[in-house]
Amino acid sequence: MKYSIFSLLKQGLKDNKEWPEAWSSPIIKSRYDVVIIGGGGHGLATAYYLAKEHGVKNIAVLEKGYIGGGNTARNTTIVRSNYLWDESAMLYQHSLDLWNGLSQDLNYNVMFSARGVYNLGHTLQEMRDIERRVNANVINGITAEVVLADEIKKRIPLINISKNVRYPIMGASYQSTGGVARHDAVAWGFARAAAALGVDIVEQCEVTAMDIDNSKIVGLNTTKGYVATNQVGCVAAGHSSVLAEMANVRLPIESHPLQAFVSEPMKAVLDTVVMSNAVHGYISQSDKGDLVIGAGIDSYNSYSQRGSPHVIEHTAAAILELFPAFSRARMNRQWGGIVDTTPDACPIISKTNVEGLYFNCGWGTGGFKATPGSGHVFASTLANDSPHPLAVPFAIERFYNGHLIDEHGAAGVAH
Amino acid sequence: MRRINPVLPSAIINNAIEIDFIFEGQQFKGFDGDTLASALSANDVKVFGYSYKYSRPRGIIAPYAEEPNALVSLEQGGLYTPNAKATQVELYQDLIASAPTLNPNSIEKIKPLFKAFHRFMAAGFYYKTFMRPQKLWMLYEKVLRSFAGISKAPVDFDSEHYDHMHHNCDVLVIGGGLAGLTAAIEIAKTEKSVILLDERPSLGGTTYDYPDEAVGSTNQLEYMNNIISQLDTYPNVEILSRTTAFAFHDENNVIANEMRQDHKPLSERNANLSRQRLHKIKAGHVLLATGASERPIAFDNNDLPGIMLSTAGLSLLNRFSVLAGEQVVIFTNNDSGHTAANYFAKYSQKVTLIDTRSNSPDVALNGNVRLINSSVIIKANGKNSVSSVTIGERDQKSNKNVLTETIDADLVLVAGGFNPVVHLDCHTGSNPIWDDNLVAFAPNLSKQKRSGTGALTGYIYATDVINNAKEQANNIINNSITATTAQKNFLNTDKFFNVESFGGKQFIDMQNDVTTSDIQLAIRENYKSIEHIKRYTALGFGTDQGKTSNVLGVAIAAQSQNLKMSEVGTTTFRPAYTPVTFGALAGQHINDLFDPERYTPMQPSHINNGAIFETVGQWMRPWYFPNNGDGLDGAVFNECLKTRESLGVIDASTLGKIEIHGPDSREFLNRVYTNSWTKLAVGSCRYGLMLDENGMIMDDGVTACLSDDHFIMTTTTGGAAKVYQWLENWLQTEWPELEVYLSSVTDHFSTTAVVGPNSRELMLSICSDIDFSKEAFPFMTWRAGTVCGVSARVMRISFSGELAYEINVQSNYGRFVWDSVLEKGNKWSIVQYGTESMHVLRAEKGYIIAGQDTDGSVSPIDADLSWVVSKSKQFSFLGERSLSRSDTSRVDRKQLVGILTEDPSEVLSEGAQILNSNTNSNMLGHVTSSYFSPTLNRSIAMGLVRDGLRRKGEKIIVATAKGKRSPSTIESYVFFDPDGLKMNGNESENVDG
Ligand SMILES: Cc1cc2nc3c(=O)[nH]c(=O)nc-3n(C[C@H](O)[C@H](O)[C@H](O)COP(=O)(O)OP(=O)(O)OC[C@H]3O[C@@H](n4cnc5c(N)ncnc54)[C@H](O)[C@@H]3O)c2cc1C
Repeated sequence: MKYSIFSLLKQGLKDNKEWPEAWSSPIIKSRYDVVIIGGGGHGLATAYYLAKEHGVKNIAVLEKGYIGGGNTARNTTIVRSNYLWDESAMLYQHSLDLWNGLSQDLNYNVMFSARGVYNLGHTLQEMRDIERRVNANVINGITAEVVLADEIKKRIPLINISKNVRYPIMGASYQSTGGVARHDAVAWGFARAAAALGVDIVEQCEVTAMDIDNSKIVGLNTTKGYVATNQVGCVAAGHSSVLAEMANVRLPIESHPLQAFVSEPMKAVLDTVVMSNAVHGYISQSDKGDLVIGAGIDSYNSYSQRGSPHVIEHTAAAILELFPAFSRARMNRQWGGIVDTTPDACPIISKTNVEGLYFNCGWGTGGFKATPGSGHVFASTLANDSPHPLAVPFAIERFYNGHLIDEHGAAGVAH
Repeated sequence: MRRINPVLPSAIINNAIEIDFIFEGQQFKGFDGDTLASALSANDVKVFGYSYKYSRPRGIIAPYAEEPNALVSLEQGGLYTPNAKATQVELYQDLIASAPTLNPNSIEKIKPLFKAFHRFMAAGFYYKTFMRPQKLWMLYEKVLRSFAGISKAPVDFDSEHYDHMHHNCDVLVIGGGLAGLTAAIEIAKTEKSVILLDERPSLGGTTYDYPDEAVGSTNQLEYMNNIISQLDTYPNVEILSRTTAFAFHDENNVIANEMRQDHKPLSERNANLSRQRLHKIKAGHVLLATGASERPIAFDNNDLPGIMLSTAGLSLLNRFSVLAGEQVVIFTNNDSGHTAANYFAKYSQKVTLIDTRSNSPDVALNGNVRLINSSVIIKANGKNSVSSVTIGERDQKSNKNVLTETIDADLVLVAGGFNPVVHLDCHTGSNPIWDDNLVAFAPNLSKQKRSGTGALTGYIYATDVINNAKEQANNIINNSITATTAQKNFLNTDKFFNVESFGGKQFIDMQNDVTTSDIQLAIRENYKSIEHIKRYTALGFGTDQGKTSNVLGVAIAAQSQNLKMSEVGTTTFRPAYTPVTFGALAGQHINDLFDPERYTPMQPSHINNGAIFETVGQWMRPWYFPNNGDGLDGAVFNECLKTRESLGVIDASTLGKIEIHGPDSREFLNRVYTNSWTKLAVGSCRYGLMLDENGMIMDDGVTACLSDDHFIMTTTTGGAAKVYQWLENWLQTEWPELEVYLSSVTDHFSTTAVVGPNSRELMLSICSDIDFSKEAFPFMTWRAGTVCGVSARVMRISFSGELAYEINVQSNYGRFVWDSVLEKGNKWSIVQYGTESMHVLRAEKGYIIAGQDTDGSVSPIDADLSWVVSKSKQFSFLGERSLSRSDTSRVDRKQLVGILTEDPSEVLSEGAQILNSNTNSNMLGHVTSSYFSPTLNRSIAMGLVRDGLRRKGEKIIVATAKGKRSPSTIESYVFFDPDGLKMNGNESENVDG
């Protein structure tokens, strides 16, 4: 059923009793042409584009929990494309292009809200980096500008630009086309659209082993039985290394907890996204009125979806440096996800030396924004058994040949 | 509603002290001991706001922290508090409160206009519309945003402050009800240290709400008061009231927030006392005694004001002496409804008890109560508050209800059973377990050094609670923890959660206006996992975190899918148990203590000398010295020229310093630096480059050999901590066989660097026990001696290309030496200079700054520093292998070059991109450093350019985002004195020591 104001009216008159399932939950089949492991945004998007653009018919997405329950459901939803290096800028811009029009394409309102993103600079070196990145962005055709403190204050009245703070705000890079989106809706929207194209979405189905014959993938053991297949795309974020181990593939990935928290809902006061590396925190306000706040990873490795309290405390302090008035706002809930970090803070979209086995991971702290783009290029990579042009630089080979795309330095807080 | 006079003996209010307060602009009176909710209830205020989506009137439903409806904003300006729960706000003289959704501002006025559309606004409706045209979404969103939120956000600076405190204790008891108190006193007797905390202002938990329950020959209230007075005599017990344990982390780390001032009149708040204090408690054992909170039963119109949990009604009655209604209907599925009926029968005119069960329970019923078994409330009636209920008989088999009668009611108490407060137990990752005996989710309590007691584990009646608490206390004392959950049926609770709807709205989560049919819709649409239900409908997302709604939601999900409660399970419980002020989380780590600024010992002199400071890492360094009111440019011009002409001085104390001791120090340096350290002689220094595993420059600095097994390393100012960690990491985890010890001594020494052709003259005037002749004290060596009467290490190194000496003294003498140098230097017209001139001087010489000219993607070869990379070391150094990787060893990588603009007066902007001059596109690299060079009287710049080393002489375009294009040429990056004559005082000498 197509979602629209008309279907809402029609179904409303029937007391909403006849809405169909957004996606169905079929019984798992014994064989698929392509299996995507991981029902997060990236996995579901991959399946959707495989079905939609490459005409692949017999696809399954296997999800060990409920779809969108991994980092997709835990992130702070910042979307932007103002990355420094050409390779990443192009990839994230591709994604940003897809965000525009995604609700219409999926016929599901993912609430992509281009409310703008500020990356603040507090030191001379940060301002140099901002200049550099904005220059590079603009030359690459990406919307970006440098704004100075006074202008920031005009646009964000609550921000503190006093010179008498530890790290006075000197300026920011601003991407007006960036913003936020509703994370759950992204997973559900892709799931619904993929299911409508015949993709089997199998929840509560964990992949426990890979059946590899002569360096070729031939099947998977799952908690719902054995599945034969010759093409497997792993899109498991923080658990990618666990899957890689099943295939004896080595990934340069470390899994870390990344935490976030929200305030209680309050009337709207902040209509953009503000990020700061120097104080280490970022903030936006959701449509429900919650201040959505996050920071950096917990430094130890872990697979448990929770983190240490001092990180939350430091993040709160950081936010108060930027917005002292929020001192009296109250934290409602905190949580953590497991992020898959790589040495150069860039993703891995790659074939492996197991034929038919592909990985799309390493998005770390910042992959939500890439969801449609990542799915799109990964689908093409799987369908053609050859990397999408935008994915070429992100192959695993770069860790062997040294062609890293190091976004640590100048990309701002990596979200 | 009315206050019962004389005040009930169980009540905690003192009616001798009247308290005036303002709610919604109106003046009210309450009593000392009241909460805002109880005082307003005594004044017959029933409506506290209108609901978020459907704009329905709402009143209090819960006794305390579970309250979803009665949210208020308190005070104004720097004392403003959003979203407080009226049931938790302690009344004080002149309190000003407002109900954000009550006083209709523009949005609240519009909301009722949407009534006609409510049927189209079921759960998740917004995912299905507002998509076209795409451009309008931002507008739709704006409208949706204006609907959302409860209180306004605070917009003023906080006038109060917060702090943190750390504790260790043997046993932490969370919850000061009968169970927690009983256990605490048992444990206290053993001399173990005990912390007992409770969120409420007074200990005693729910004993006040059920004061008459018998304990032996007395009642539980008296029993409890007796324990409290005894506890006071134990010095090993610390009691924290008004303190909520809101997060339970691994290893028994519990975080609790204490409210220290919010209950006091504004005039009595102590500015020296923190408003709230975050207690971080590390406990040997944690005993959870967090009790159980009541859940409602859902029926149509169950959100009308005047309908509340039975515990809310009992709390008003027995704790605050407020009778919430005369015509009381109690709707129960367990024995607690009968207890409630008995309390109300003493004061209310009429009490009707509707019990879903057919059997009589254990509790003897007051003769005035009319008991109707096997029945339910089908719906509540009334406009702004409840006026009657329609009841029906329950057909056990069909689960259909036959409408029987309508009963007038001004108060409906709902007793739907109790949920153990499992939240804290779940924070560390264990899931609660559905228990069919308790008809509730019971705590898992499977983690070590943790146990539970009291209602949390299924004990309700006072005697049972006391026995269990003693048993648990003894288990802790004897170190024999056995998880115990009551085996008895919890109050004979009927597994009954909601009444079949008659077509009205049945609210599950009142704060988010989530109804039974919303949950059913979610399931119909395949949002079946309880997490999906939560996320699709917003069930449990409110400021109450679903304390009254979650289990009901699970029950409805289970029913609609024919699943067991255990199969549906719960969503994950996450901190905070109740909301925590951001300020409290940050504690004292704000403003000056956010990340304390670091200063060198010379700071007072710098301030006296008018320095303007720059933030470098954690340090504040003089950026420039604007003598005579010069701006940056003027000051730098002067500083650079005078230094090159005669003498300058810079405070270099902020550079990181790490002492390296031990017989394997040389080997260690060989491994962490790119060059060889095997032969560096005592008394000599050497420049070192540190690479990361990818072979990229991470840090650099000079290391001096103090003795064969003792070195002192310098790092960049910003990189010190990172380098230190990096070195320790390798030593401790990868090379434990090396006998090397590191200590950070950055703060121990301060460094005055004297620079310029007259620096030798100056040194001679302040130090007589070092031979400064070029033969005796060559470049890249150090000598010990006495400078200005202070024992010092003098290093002959240079970051400016001038003859230069760095005087290192113990920090305490740093300022003295600095001031003395300035004074003595007058003879040579000494100038002090800051980081900006330092940058210019080094750029003139083409020296890199790690972190500015490098960005983690620059190898030593890229930076043209191959001369620092040893190819013949025995042990490979960190990053070496990576240098030979195919991409890293490419010859056309981005490399460090000098850049000269066509227009010598034009200073390029740092961060500008470098384009191919033919195509005017194709980014080749970027400008890393750019200055006007006073010495050369023209602009100079450094940059990283693809294949740069081979492009010398090539024309390029330097471009900025604003469209500026500057034609320039690639040159050598050594702009000044390429032969290094000046560094040696214009005498030729071997450069690398
Ligand atoms: C707190 C936090 C804040 C963040 N903020 C931002 C932000 O502001 N902006 C941004 O762009 N990004 C952000 N991110 C990062 C972003 O969330 C992730 O990069 C992105 O969501 C990854 O999507 P995914 O679909 O790859 O992963 P996930 O959503 O994690 O999906 C992976 C799925 O794989 C499943 N899975 C794992 N192993 C198996 C198995 N063996 N069998 C079957 N299924 C399996 C998991 O259950 C999971 O559902 C944040 C992350 C966190 C944790």
